[in-house]
Amino acid sequence: MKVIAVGNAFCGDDGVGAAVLAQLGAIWPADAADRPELIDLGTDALALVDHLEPGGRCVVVDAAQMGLPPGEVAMFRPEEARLRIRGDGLSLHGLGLAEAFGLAAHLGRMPKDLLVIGVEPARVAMGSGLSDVVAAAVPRVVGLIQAEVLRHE
Amino acid sequence: MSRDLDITVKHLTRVEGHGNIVVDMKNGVLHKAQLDIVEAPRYFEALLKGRSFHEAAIITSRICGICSLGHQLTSLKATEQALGLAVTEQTVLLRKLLVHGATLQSNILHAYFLAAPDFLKVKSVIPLVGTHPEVVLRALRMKKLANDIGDAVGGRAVHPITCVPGGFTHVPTAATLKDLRRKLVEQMVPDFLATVETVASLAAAIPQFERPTEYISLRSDGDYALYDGDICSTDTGRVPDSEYRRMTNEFVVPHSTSKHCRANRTSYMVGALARWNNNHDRLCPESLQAAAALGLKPGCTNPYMNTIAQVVEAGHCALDAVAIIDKLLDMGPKLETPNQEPTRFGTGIGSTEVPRGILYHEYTYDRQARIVKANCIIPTGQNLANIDDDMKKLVPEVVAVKSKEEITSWLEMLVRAYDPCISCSVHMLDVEFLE
Repeated sequence: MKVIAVGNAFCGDDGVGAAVLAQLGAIWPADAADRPELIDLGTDALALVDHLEPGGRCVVVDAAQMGLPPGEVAMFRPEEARLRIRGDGLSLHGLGLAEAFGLAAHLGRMPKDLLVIGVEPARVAMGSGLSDVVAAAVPRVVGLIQAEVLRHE
Repeated sequence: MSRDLDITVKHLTRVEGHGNIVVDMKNGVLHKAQLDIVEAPRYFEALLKGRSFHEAAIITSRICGICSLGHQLTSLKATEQALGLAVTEQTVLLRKLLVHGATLQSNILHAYFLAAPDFLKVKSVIPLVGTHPEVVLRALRMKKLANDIGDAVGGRAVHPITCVPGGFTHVPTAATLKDLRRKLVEQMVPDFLATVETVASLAAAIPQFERPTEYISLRSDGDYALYDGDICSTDTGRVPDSEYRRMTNEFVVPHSTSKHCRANRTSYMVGALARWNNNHDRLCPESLQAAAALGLKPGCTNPYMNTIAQVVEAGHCALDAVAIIDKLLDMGPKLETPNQEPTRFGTGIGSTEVPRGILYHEYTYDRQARIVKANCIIPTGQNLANIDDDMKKLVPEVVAVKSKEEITSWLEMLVRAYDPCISCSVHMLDVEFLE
């Protein structure tokens, strides 16, 4: 199983994915058979397309604006939500996960078993460090991913 | 003939910032034609204060996801100059290889993801998967291989981890380099040639618009300047990068939270077209053939041709990457201890050509090797005044002969040709749950 994080660790709560990966990395020994593959895409969301394969299992972790209170965690399948294309169309800098999912779907690369875990951010301004509410959400996200790994053993 | 024109293209979809195109023309008199930038300024210059020289490049590489490698290398160069840290020939070669990978990736994405949808009159690259699947797959294949260069040399493609002040903490093995070389020759070069063919078939859609301006890029004696060089202006020639403040003259304008720049005119252009105009004589023959096939000539003054200049340059990056790998293989890649013993504590300037143009970092260090002052000028900031000047010439030229929709589309294409780094530091999902 792959756990893929997207986001900028120097942009407040946008770095929640990287924080989750760091905790996951400490749970399983590096050579453990059931250790999920941990992939930090940083800000290159489009690279997600390279990591998706129809037969694979995948969890994608990202800060997400979901209209929930800050720090809330939601786990969903892409088809259960509308992912808005937020790119302004004027520059490559706007390419994000929604576009990556769109491309992967059109290319027939979307895994059947793909979950998105979104964490509602409190603060996304430039500067390192998660807000308290989002930092408190990290163990909950880690728990969800551990349960996903166990579910398939 | 219409004498009134009122265009506002708002891009409010992004959280942190956006660029609005605003045109206001009354009775044939142009009152306004500009790109408004409204985004929270990024306080990374303040963020750098007090940080040790080990941290500067890590922090600045996070300023921007697309330009992370450029920020990192420019930052390292500034630090190394400030602290008097010499680097080896192998380090320079590996860095040049990284620059080629990053430039290749950005240029290719620009051509396929931003420009091609314009040329084919669709809203984004996604519909092209249905109509031109082989083209989209080629784009993704090229992007992936460009990423692989970053992975092999930098440890990972975005926010590389092996580049540190004074050198590398890890170097690729000969086997890894040979594998990269094979893929570049067997896959990237044919894909580049196919790209030139594809772009040539679409080039008729490039707007015909000329506005001579000042073109500024790096230039070096040896190679096509990307990693290093003097500042070179088509108006006034070469000066060392220590004179970068005189060549940028940052100033504040009311309609943009990003500063504007000027040198010898009201504006100047940086990026692939500026590099082409200054350095076409340093390109490899394959790139010059591509330029001929795509109608790109020296002294080009059509800003829309920036996209074409990027494609031409991509070929050079691929082929020069092969040449650099050959040199590294000849030398035999070996792990060297990074030189991190400062010989001085002062001010250093780093200037590098990143895909969108010259990037400058300047740091001053105290005797504990901590930053006391930092300055950073990004290419987009340098291009903003030039974009406005382009719009002010373009709108009156086309207002009588084109519809408002066509003009709007041309203005959007113009901004896309520069691919401004408007808002890039946050990559959140925007989710609406379905009932």
